[in-house]
Amino acid sequence: MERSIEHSKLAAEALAGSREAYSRLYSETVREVYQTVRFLVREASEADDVVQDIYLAMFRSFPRYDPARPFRPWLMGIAMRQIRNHRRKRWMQLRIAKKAEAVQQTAEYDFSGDITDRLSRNSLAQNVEKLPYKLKQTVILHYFHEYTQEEIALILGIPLGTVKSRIHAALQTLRRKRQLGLFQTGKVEELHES
Amino acid sequence: MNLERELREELRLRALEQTEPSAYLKESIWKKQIGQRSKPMKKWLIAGVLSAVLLIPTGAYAGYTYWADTIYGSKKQAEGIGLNAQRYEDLERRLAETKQSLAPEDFEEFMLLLQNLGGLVLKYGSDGEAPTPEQLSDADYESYLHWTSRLEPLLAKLSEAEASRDAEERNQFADELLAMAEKKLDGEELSAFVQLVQAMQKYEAKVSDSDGSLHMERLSPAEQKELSRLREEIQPYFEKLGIETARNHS
Repeated sequence: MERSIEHSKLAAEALAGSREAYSRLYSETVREVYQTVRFLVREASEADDVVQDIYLAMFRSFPRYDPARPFRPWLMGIAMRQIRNHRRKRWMQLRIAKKAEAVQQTAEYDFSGDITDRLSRNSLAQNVEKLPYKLKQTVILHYFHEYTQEEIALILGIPLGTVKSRIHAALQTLRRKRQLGLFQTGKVEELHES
Repeated sequence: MNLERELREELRLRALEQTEPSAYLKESIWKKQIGQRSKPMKKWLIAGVLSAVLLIPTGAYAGYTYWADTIYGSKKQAEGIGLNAQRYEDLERRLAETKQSLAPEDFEEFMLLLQNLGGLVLKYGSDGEAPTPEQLSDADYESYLHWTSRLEPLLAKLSEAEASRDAEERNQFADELLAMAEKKLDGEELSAFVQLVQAMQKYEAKVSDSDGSLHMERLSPAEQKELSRLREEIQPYFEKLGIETARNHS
């Protein structure tokens, strides 16, 4: 709680023009923000831009910040909304680009990369990577950042029950994938044997 | 190992492999933030076009077909999302002014786009707050982008028209002020008043851009102090001349 008051004070001072306050706030929060972006935004090269958007959105939203609320989950809520915006923009750009590339891709598809992926990408973290976005988001918040389920409900603006069912669904999917592990690699082994 | 524990461990290891944010990021955010603060305060685009649809400012015209009805259907429907009668009248007045500033075909396009955006506000807005783009569904967000991109050139035309009208109004105001002062003030008072007006005009020129936006941050702390002193000093003259200002009105 103390830390939260400290952060909101720094944000207020930074908004009023204090570079020093901004510098401290940034140093104390950027690691968590950046790591979240890296987990949830596929393109590493775009991570810096998304982080920048998050901090600018934080400054824009700060006048509406309720000091009774803890600062860290509030900032994380902003991060989640900015990441969602980014994914949407990206999705629309991709949809246009995909139409143009569709014909070429079918002709030039290279299966070797796919096989290497199947061999090397077998860890639990890789399976998290492949989870549906909403499940992945909940897993990162809960198991990486150690937010409580109640905090996650606040961050994502969803009911607590939904958080619980997302965590449950994510764990079930990961368990199932692990059990299927041998079968998944089976195809690759067959390929090598033949 | 327990799956949850394993998950924590794997994610922690994965995070160690991540790159660091660029060394310039901190500085770049700060520059942008400072830049945004000193950006001209556009009358129209306050915080995105949707908010502007709700917050369009000033006054009341009455007794004719409501332009605002074109956007929201009716006053009653607008009340449903917290847009009260006063704000509805404000929007109406603003639209009537806009009609004067744009060519007929531009105004028609402008109304059509605001009608579409108003539809989004009705669908998602509540308690007088415009929705933020991230609240929209994917399909509505796409429409929002399309409509706002068509709206941009019209808003640019509008702010040009407003800038020239503002400049005209400012000059007219200064002329009227001096004419009034000549009638009501005696020699000594008049010359003191003219000096004050001229000093304030110098500051006005320094902080105003051609688009009518004000940039108070261009004044040093000493100049800002001086400007407040001038405002204090000019106040009794305004009262004597019977001019209402925000301060003597409150």
